[in-house]
This record gives sequence, structure tokens and C-alpha cells, in this order.
Amino acid sequence: MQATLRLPKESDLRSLRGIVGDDFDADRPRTVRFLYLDTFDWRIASSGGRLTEETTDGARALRFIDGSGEPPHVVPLAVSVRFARELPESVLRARLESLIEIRALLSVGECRVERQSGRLRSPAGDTAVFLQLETSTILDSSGRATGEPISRIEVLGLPGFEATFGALVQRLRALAATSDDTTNLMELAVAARGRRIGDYSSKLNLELDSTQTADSALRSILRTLLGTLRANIDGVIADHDPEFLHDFRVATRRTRAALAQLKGVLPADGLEVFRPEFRWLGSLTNPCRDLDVYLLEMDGFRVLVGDSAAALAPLQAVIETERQVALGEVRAGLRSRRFQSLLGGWQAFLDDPPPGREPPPNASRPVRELASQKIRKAYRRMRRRGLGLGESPPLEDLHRLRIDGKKLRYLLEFFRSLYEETEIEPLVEQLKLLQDILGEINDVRVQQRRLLEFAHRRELAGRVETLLAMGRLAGALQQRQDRLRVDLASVFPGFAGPEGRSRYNSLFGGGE
Amino acid sequence: MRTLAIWSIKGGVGKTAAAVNIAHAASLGGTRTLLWDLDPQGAASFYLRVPAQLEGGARIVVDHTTDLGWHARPTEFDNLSLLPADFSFRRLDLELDATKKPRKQIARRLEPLTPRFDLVIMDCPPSVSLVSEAVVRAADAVLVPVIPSTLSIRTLEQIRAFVAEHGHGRTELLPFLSMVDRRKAMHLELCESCLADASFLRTVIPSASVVERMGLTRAPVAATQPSQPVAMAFAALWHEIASKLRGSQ
Repeated sequence: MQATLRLPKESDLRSLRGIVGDDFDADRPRTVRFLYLDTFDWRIASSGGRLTEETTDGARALRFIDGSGEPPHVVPLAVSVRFARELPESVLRARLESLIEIRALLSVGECRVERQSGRLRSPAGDTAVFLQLETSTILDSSGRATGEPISRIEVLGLPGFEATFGALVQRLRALAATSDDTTNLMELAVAARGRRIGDYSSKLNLELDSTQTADSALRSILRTLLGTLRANIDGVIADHDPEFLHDFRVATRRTRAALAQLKGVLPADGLEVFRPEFRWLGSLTNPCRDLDVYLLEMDGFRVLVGDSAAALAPLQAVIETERQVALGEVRAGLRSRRFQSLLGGWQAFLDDPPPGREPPPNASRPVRELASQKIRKAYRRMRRRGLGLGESPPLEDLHRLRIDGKKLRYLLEFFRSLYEETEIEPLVEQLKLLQDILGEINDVRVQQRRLLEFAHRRELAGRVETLLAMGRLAGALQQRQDRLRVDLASVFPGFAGPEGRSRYNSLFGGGE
Repeated sequence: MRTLAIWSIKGGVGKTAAAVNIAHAASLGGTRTLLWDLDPQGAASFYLRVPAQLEGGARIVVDHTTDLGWHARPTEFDNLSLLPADFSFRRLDLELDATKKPRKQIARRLEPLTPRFDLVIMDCPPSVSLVSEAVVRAADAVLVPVIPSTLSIRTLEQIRAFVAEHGHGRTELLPFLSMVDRRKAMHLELCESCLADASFLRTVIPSASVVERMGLTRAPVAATQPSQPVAMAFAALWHEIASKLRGSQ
């Protein structure tokens, strides 16, 4: 039994006492500061959950409601937490870790609540109804109040006291200007920060239309990617978590892939300026991302080397220092005039491309026709390369196969909305599995190479235990690589074999 | 989810006060706690201002078609819910006895509560019965309040034998000293000999008038008088229990 009612302005419990009755037992009024927490990509809200940090009388607690109707988790905190792993070992920590993974918790909204709670007693002194009167003020990002305060009362009836609850709710409803409350404070608080719940996702959700021309479709793809680039800039600079840089880089790569794969759609002469600029953006962020991956793997590495785990600490320190330097370069790059003019110029180009000497040959083709042709071609290229690999191909060749796979995957992701979902999704999933293995092989390759470089570092000279642990790590990485090669050999035939091929042919036309 | 039973064969040893205050201490630390009042007297329910009445009565303990968690009531405290007692619990033995595997009933009924609660504390009636057998069977640990008297210490030996017989093999027995009056020489003497036994929890709960007043305040002591030594003792006792429960996981 629960009801939430919106009250007229400036209600307080003194004026409510007449309605509630004299058996009302009120607590001391409190001011609670609510911080709504979520990841940049709304992992908590999109799971139906809600996470708040509540501070009252200097005491801080984290409250998590998962939306399934289970009792909330309320965990007292000494300091704010930014990552799930900073929480004390608990059920809540495990749940948040699986939900938000390595993403940072950001404050996405704030409000200040004047709260008066109390209860209505039965004649025997048992609690019959809980009441909570709240006047909430939404705060903007600088902590200033915005909008009118919102007063509402929550009434929770306990089993066995249905009549008391019913009568009280009826009396409250009879108050002037009382109405059932549907206000979502979190939405308002998020809006005061200039955002909207669900306004960012790292997934590419494009809704293209088969009748669109290639020109307008490509432009909308590139505009979406530019939006993703822009959305992540602040997070990369603030270094909340490594996913900002990751998403930023994926958007860069997708942009480059779109330009390389879909030639003859946008005017070529205008485009020439941008290609090297996007390449620059890729190489600007490469070192930092490699080191991020290294650091993210560190926990796994410690497990791999077993009892030498502690000896890896100096290596971690070297990587962390180097990452700071690499991040400094990324920050400088993102603040540079070169980057600003890339963003501005690219936006202008997409909104209003300069007229070419003659219209690009593919510009007015129906997008689905062009998409099918390009996907077909990319599939054939990857399939041919994969089938041509020998028994134990060199890492360089696997790297090239991975690049082919990326191009194919990007095309499938750009154009998935043009095809029947039940037909294209299995292909995306299959390719994703393949790419995960190829990607991991590549990560191991990069890590092995870096490990050798690190071993030559002056900071690690003479640190015999660390160098030995790194040696064990190198061995373990080699074993991992061997296992991944076996996985690849078992997954690739499903993609390249007759069944995979006929699925691609039937969906995208053609046949060799 | 961990399960804790608070049990003593002897009455008047501070069992229910411990159940309520330990459950409250656990809830304050962020552990979603369900206190199950199995004592037909319903004292734990009374302390938390919940009527000791249960729709369906004792039958809900054995009726597997219903969800036990549905009967859990929120209390005034975050993370603390209560499954109230009912006077019909005096016949709980008979209800259990009518089932096929009476000793496994409570354990089976608790299982589905796992996603909702991190801890279940069962406040048992002070008796040796089928109910206590089923509760001991369901518990990860059995907490036994012991007042420093020769009789109470003798009772502990009986409980030890009972838990060894009816526990599931990993059931931990956690005795602790309760209602200790430091002004009584005999209390101090017996305390010393009890604490020489390593199985005793190290925290000692003093005898305190604020605990007696719980009948008037109808709230855990830490909710009304958090700075009282006894409130802090219950918090310390919970921390000790929690680390034992973690260790046995």
C-alpha cells in the first residue's frame, strides 16, 4: 500500500497534523542532499535501476534501487565512490560491478530535499502508516536552485492497517491542489544539468531508410559519429574513466572507415583535407589507449604470474607514469587549434559540402544498393584472406585479417537498420565473436612488444624480481596467444564456410 | 545470503534484545537484513512496532505455494525488514511435524529470499523442539547469549551437543556473554572463565537499563541512544559475527 501525492506549495507537517491526526509521531526535520549517480552512458538508468548518494547531517550513504521491487541496498560511505571496486566487499558491490564494469560513476543531477518523516500509530502503539513529506529543490551544475520547489508526500501503509491508510489517503486527496504525483525528480535534476537520461550510448543506433540516397545516409552516419566524438571530449580531458577515450577512438575509426569504404558518395576534393586529420587523431590517441589496455589487464596479469604478483608493482608504476605523459599529449591535442578547426570544418562540410566539379558517382544511388555492394566486397575480402592463411599464420597476417574484419563490422553496424533484424543480427554477432578473438590476439601482440620495451627501461634496471615476473608474464601471454589461435580456428569456419557465405549472399545479393 | 539463529534453551538471557540490536547494527552497515521473529510471544515484532500477527499464521512456514518474503514488513530503518511472529507459532512444531522433511522446512523456505536479503536473523523461542532443530539446520551460525551464571553455562553445553547433532556440519556455534554486570564479582569471575574458551565471541554485552527501556521506546538502542556503551557493544558484536560469517563462507 503506497501512494505519492503532490502537495500545494509550502506545505509542512504542522498544517498536515490536522489531517493526519494527533497520533502522529514526527521525526526531526532533516535536509538531505541527493546526488544522482550514473555512468556517462546511463548503464544504471537503462537497467531500470537508480543510484543516489544521500548526505544528511554529515552522514553519507549510497542507495541503490534495482527497479525489480526488491528492498533497496543502502550502504553508508565514508567518502564518495567513483568506481564500483571502491565499495566495501558486499552484494551491492558485486551487482554494481557487473552493471557498470570499469565505468566511473558521475554525478548526473543534484537536488536538496527538506524531509520530514513520521508515522501514524495504532492504538496499540504499532506503526500503521509511514509518512514522508519532502520539499525538493533541483540544483544546477553550480549548485544554484532552479525552478519552483516541489512538495510531495509519500504514504506507506503497513499490512493490517488498510483502513487507516485508505482513510488518510482520502483525506489528503481532498486537500486543495493535491494530485497524484508523477514527477520524476531525477529527470528534472538531469535536465538542470543540460542532459537527458539515455542521451548517450556507445552503441551506434542509426535509423536509416532504404529509400534514402547514399549521400544523405552517409552524412547522417558521419554526423552521428561527430556527435559521439564531441560528447566524449570533456570526459577524455577530465579522465573520468578509460571508456571516454575508447569511445572517442571508436568514433574516429568508424569515421575513417566510412570515408575509406564509401568512396564516391561525398565530393572527393572537399574530403581530402580531412583524411589526414582523422588519421592524426588516431595516432594522437594510440599510445594512451595502449597503456589503458595494459593497466586494465594488470589485475589479470597478476593472476597469470601467481606468487610473483607483487613484483609487478614497479612495472605498473612505469606504465602509470607513461600513461600520464600520453594523456597529457591527448589533452593538448584536444585543446589545440588544429582539433578545433577539424571539428568546425568537418561539421560545416557535413552540413553543407562544397560543390564538386561533377557530382560524385555514388551520391544519388539508393543507400541499400550501395551498402549491400560494399558489405559483399568487404566480406569477400576478409573471407579470402582468412582462407589463405596457413596452419599457424604470422601475427602480422592476423592483424590484417582483423583490420578487414573491422571494416566489415563497421559497414554492418552503419547499415543494420536497412535489413531485417533477424537476418542481420546473427551476422553481426558472429563477426563480433570472431573480432573479439582477433582483437585479443592483437592486444597480446602489443603487450608482448611493450613488455620487451619496458624491460629495457632504466627505472626497472637491476629489479631482478620484477624482470623475472615480467618474464613469467611473457610466457603466460604466449600461452594465451596459443589458446586464442585454437579458438580462432574453431570460429572462423562458421564465418567463411558454405553456410556463412550463403547467409551473406542471400542477404546482400551477389554470389561469386 | 547468510543465516544467523539466535537461540538459547534458557529464557531471560537477552536473546530478543540481541536479535533486534544485532539486526539493526547489521542494517546500519548496509546489510539488507530480515529479522524473523519465530517466538510466539512476538517480542522482536513488538520492539520494532510491528503487530505480531501473520496472515495465514504458522502455516506459512510450511506452505511452499506462497512466498515467505511477501510477509516481510518494512521497519522504520533502512535495510531492516521484519517477518513478524504470530501467536499460532506455538503450534509450529505440529505444522512442521505434518510435513515430509520437517527439519529441512525452514532452510528450504529461506532459499528464495536470497536476492532480497543479505542476512536473515532468526529469533527462536527458548525451547528444544522441532522448530529449534529446523532453525539450527537452516543456520550458518547459531548465536547463543550466555549470562554469567553456572546454570547458563551448563545450558551452553547442552546446546553445543544439540548443534553438533542437528546442524549441517558447518554450523558455527557462537556463544557470547550477555547482560553482564561488572559490579558483581561472580559475573566477572565467570566472564573470565568463559572468555578463556576460544569459541566465545570477544565482545561482552553489558547489562543496561536502556535495553530494559526498549519495551517503552520500542526501538533498537542505537536508534534512540547511539552513544550508550551497550549500543556500541552491539555494533562491535555484529562486526565480530560478520567477520566470522565471512571466514566461514
